Amino acid sequence: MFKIAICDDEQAICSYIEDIILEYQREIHVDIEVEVFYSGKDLCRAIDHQQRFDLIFLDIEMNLLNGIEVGKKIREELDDYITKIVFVSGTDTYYRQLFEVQPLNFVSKPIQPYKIKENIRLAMKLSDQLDGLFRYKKKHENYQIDVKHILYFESIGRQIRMVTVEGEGQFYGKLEEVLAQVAKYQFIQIHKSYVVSYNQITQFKYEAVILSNGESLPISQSRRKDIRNFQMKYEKERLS
Amino acid sequence: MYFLVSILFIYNLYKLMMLFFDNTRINRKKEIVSYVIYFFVNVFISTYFPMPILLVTSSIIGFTLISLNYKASLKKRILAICFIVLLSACVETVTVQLISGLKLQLFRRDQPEFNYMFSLVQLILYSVTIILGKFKNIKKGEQVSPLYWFFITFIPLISLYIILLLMYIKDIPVFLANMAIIGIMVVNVLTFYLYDRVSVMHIERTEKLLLEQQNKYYDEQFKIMNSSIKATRAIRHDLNNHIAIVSSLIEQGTSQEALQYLKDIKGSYNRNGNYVQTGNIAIDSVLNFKLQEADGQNVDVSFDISIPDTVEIPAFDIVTVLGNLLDNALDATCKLEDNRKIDLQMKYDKGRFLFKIENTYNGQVLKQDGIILTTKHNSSNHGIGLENVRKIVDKYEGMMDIEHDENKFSVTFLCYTND
Repeated sequence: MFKIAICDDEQAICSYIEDIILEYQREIHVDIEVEVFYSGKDLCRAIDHQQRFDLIFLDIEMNLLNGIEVGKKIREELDDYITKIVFVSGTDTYYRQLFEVQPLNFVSKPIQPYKIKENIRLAMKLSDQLDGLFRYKKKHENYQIDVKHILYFESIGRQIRMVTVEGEGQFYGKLEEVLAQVAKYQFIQIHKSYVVSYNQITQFKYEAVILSNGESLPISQSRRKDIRNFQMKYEKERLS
Repeated sequence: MYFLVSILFIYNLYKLMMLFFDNTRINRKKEIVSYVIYFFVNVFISTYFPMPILLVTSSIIGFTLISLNYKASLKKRILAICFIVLLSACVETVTVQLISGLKLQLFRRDQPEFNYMFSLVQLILYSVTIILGKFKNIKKGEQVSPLYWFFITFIPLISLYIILLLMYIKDIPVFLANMAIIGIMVVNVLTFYLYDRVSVMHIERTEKLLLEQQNKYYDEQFKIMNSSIKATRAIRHDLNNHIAIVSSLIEQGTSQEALQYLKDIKGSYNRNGNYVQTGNIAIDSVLNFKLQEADGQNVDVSFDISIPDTVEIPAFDIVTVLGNLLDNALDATCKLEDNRKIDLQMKYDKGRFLFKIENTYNGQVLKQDGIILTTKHNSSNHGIGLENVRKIVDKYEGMMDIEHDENKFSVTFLCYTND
């Protein structure tokens, strides 16, 4: 069940987008659940009550609580960098703060249906890529954790330190084995001791990456070109 | 005397090193110190232990140590050292053979003719280095006029001739002959310096042209902004009328006509050349300028741009990249009679600037050594475009990827912004 939220203070826009989504659902036969909110506050309240969505179409220029603030609440307060946000905007000029919210994309008004559908398709694809569990053993007991919640793995001696959205974990293991398990979820090895989730990176530099929790991890010199190539390949696919 | 010629030798060594290595990010002090040390060691050894084998070994070790100043892969370093040693040896051998062929006795360090020999060798070495340097500059895309290059190689060659002549004339006092040789050396060194300056001036001229072009874009953008402000004012003025017309069209049930009317209003807004409004004056100016050109040439332009209103890349670089790539795309697609299309995507994501431009073209790509040249007519001038873009890509540690099939050509560009 793919959950989409639409948040715009103009009812007409909300129903327009909802219609497009329903049309898309008929085209591709996937279960989509849509919820509509007419103000930023309503959306925030729903999120406060533990409601989660896979994709949110968020209007930037709302009156009371605008798109930027809602976005920041999701990202910074809830540490959620997995929910995909698509900003809907009346202009082509985007403030820099909007990008700190790590949106998937921007859609400008007047809204073109194919853009809505494209973004849903992309969000679904990215979501699938992160759909899985990471399994590990600790003191002879089996544990598993949702791959979505893992930021990175660090190898320290014979142990692996795993940093997640909730906190940290430790277990014995080898980084190569960890990488073998998580590579298909877009985890990349940026350093002899670090395996990082691509989706949890908020900023790339040539020599380092910054993660969603603010930590900066170095990219080893020998790997810099490869990481850049990987990014190029990954983003080219997204740009097509 | 020998001292001075040795200085030329060191200069030659430096130039040879520069053929292979990039000297932009190194420790200048260490570099100078290493050359000086090598210089003294060399003089010391050749004065007190003038055995060929010792000289050769010390040279090789010296070259290697000096090359450590520069960043390079092991392969490149070995190649460079071998080449430099080989080249010096060859030039020396050839020169010696030539001279022995002319039946002049030399080789003894204490003989005055040794200096002639040594000077000759260095001059020839210098000419060869210049010739090789010219090829490297071509690769880098710096185009110094062939005429200049001819002048510059002519001078060492003539100097050669004069020195040979001096060797033949037996009655000149050694001191005067040495002064002549020194004079010739100085002339050559000054010429080399001039050559360097000419190359630098050429680069500066290219930059100036780019700046002028950028100013032109800014100018155009201001005009566009101005006229669009006027147009907006006009539309706002007529808004009530427009609303009335659209409402009545809808009431009459002719929604298609209403939509068409609305499209026309938007069209008149666009016709002012206002395609893109990211808030970045530099980006808006280049894009609007080029997109308007494209429109005028019957090119179907589509774009998807989402970047913040301020980007940390200097306007100068943006203009170079966007301007050149768009120019290339425009030129390529205009070679077609119909189906001219350009698609432009720009995104800002996770601290990176991503840019993809795709265009239809006639399937012909001009390549040399795997580097794509241009299909433009004036290839010597316009091939520079892609080279300039590559320079900027390197500057930001970015990456440019080129892909094409028979119908579509696409360039994807990624670089890190400094936030």
